Amino acid sequence: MDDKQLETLLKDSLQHSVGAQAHVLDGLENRVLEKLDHPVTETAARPWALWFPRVKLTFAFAGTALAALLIGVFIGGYFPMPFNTPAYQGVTFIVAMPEANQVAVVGDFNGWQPASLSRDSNGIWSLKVDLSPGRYEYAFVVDGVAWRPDPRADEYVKSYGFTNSVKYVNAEGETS
Amino acid sequence: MILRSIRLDRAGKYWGTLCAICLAVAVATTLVWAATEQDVENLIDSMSISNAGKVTVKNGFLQGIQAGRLSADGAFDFLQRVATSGADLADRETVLVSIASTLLADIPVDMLVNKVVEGLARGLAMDVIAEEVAERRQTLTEVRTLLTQKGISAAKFSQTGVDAATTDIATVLENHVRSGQSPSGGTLLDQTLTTLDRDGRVSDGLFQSLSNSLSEGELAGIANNIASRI
Repeated sequence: MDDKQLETLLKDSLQHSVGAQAHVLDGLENRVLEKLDHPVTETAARPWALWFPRVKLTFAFAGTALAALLIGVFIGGYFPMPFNTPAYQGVTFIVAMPEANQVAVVGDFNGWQPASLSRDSNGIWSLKVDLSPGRYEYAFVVDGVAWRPDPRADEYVKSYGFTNSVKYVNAEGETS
Repeated sequence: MILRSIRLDRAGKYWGTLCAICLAVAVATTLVWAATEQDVENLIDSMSISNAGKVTVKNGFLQGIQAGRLSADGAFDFLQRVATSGADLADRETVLVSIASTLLADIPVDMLVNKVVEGLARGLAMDVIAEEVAERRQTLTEVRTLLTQKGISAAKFSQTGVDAATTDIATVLENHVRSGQSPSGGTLLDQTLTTLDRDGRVSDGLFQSLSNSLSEGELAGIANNIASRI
């Protein structure tokens, strides 16, 4: 078979294939346009897509999210904001009581409501609390009943005949 | 008009709606849980105390909230704790009227509120708490009078600083006497200045002013008055 014959054979074959599939091309343009107007939903293939669609980070999204976060946090007042609250310092209450089963701290910074300390393997109990600058009276409550002073307190005062511990906090944190 | 001019793509609309819902939930939660002045008023109205007592308590606490000495939420919590303490009604009223009167006199009440809450946490009787509050209130009043005589006021310094100084000085004098030490021991000024220096709320300027104007004799005078009361 020479080149001429081969070319003719290929042309005939292609024309035959296209002719057999011609019905597929009917209304192709309309179908493409329709798909563009109504994109295929992703939820059928990926049910979670309803909640976590693929997101293109846009200025609109970023701006909306940031504004909502700022307004929500500000109005909600759930977190201290640097421009309307005093600086808070992480203050650690720590005491060695290996024999205790439970240790909590009560004081004027938490309305004298017990806040539990965590115990390490050596029987050291500790809790970090965010406090604004000031003077705080407190005590440890051991096993839910006994109120004990803090051996590391800045000072001690008498209150209702009992001994309260005192901790001072300044802008840099604990003073001792 | 502005909203119409903002064109969001599909993801933008989705996340915008989600953020708006979160914001609405946050605001609604806040409105539900954070007490307002109106809540404080309503709570006082519902308390079993005399009408005269209600008027004083309401005026005092609302003035305290407006002056920034108490938050509405904090005042609400405190009033609720006293109201539900199960103590004698007359003792409850005595405590609340005493604190309200202190607020009406433009004097800080942190120390008094803390002593009430501590007393309740320790399970003490309300008449014991009422005595403590009345005694400490007198000390705060004397300290505030002394500072006013020295020209130390919220107009010159910050209210937070002057309130902290008033409370600190009263606390030092109370602790000194209650720990059994003599009011004329000659250490009151040193103790006071040490405490003021350690308290991060007292500015350098206010500390200097207090350091220059307070005297051992004046502090001993107030301490002697405490000793005569307890």
